[in-house]
Amino acid sequence: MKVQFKGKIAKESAYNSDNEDALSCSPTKGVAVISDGASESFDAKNWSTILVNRYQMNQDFNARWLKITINSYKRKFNSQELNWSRQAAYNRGSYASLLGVVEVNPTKSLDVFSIGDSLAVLLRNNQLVDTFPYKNSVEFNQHPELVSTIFSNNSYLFEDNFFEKHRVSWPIDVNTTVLLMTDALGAWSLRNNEKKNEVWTTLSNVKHKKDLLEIVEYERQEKTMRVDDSTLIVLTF
Amino acid sequence: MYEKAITRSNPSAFLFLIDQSGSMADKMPSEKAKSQYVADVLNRTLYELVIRCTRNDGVRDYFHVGVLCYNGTGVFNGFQGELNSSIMQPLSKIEANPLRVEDRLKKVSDGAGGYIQETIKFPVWFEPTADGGTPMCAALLKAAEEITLWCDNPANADSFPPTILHITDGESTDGDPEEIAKQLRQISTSDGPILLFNLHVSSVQAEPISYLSSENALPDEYAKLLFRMSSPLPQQLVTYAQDKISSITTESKGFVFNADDISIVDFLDIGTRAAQLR
Repeated sequence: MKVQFKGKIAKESAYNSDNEDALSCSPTKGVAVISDGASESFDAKNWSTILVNRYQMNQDFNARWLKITINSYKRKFNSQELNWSRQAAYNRGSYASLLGVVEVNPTKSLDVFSIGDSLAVLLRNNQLVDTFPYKNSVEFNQHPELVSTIFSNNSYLFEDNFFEKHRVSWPIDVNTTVLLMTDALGAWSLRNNEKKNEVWTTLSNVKHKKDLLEIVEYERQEKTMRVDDSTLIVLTF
Repeated sequence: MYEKAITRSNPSAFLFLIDQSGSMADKMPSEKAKSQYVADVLNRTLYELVIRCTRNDGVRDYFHVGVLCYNGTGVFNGFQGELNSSIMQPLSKIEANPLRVEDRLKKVSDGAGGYIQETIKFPVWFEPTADGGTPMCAALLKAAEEITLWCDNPANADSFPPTILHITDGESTDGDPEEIAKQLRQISTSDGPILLFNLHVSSVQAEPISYLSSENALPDEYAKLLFRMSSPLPQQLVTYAQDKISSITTESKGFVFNADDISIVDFLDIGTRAAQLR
């Protein structure tokens, strides 16, 4: 795995440090992961960071994995010391998407795991092969499942077809490019793909932060991309 | 129109316009005085707005909020104390200055199929009052003055336009408010005209009539007047509201007549979702 690009653009340039997306890449381990903290969460930035760090260490997402991760988040707060508004917001929890990929060398494949509305895209010679978990741009209009700091709100974990629904395996070779992106970029990409606009070459050519900034700022100005924190990872193999 | 994302650089605003005339002391079918019920729901709405904007590092000023009340004594600021200095206040200042914070009991799941009672802190900003006539024209004029000031501020010029949520239970006693409401609805930011939603609270057991697209089915001239005074619902609000009220369409107006307790709660919830956070 080679990381051609990893970067994120904040929804408000005046508040760059408030970007609630998190990312982590380890080419030596063959792991890349992004998480999009939901805006109306108490501490989405912290939660998305904890999620990607934990996934980087251990990719075996299950109930125990989640409980340990939630405890890491909870250790940062003493809810009894919070004032009324922080306490109420804390009690509602923090929410984030989680999208991770792991290279499986013996089979020359990539395991993709996703909860929420961050999008993984598989390209071969810059041509679209598959997207996951969404296939169409309208799917971004639904309320996504998100990973919550309130364990009982993660009901998807207990569905019979959990792994079937949240995992996919993609074959990879030297002509493969994989894109990982948060929802504003994902919705924009699929919408353009549906209109037969060339979008995959544009994204797979991103090498520097200024390239991504140029795309995001232009599309926001044209009102064709939602103003939201936007993260992109471009992987080659 | 109505596409601007709400951010701290481009905040939006809510102005609650509350009728506190003598008739608001009348009881609703639930036996609670209309003024008390409206005060409770308004406090709950302010609480929800604050929580939606509270982060670990504090309350973010995504919204400015004002409460204008009107009754026999005139039109006045519904906030007291520190918040009485001006009508429109940033949300962080509202969070910091409730009249009091009460301890209330709430039923919560015990995680094992049962419920336990938990004490939660509940702030109160707004007290019920009911006195005298219904100077609706004066109230709408004052709302227009405040909202013009807000929209004329260069910092707000490109923001999602303000939403005015008007709750009343009777006819205007100081003239016909229709023309004033029309002029009020023409105030705008670069993202579109302000939104004026009207709700009539009922003390009789009657079926609420809500979010219609035409005045033809309305029972009287007063209901038709309030309908004409109301703005159409923007698309994203229609999408949100359809989860609660399936009959809402893209032609619907932000208007409820003969509102019962549930429709008052829905009205304030839907109205304050006009501007979605990103």
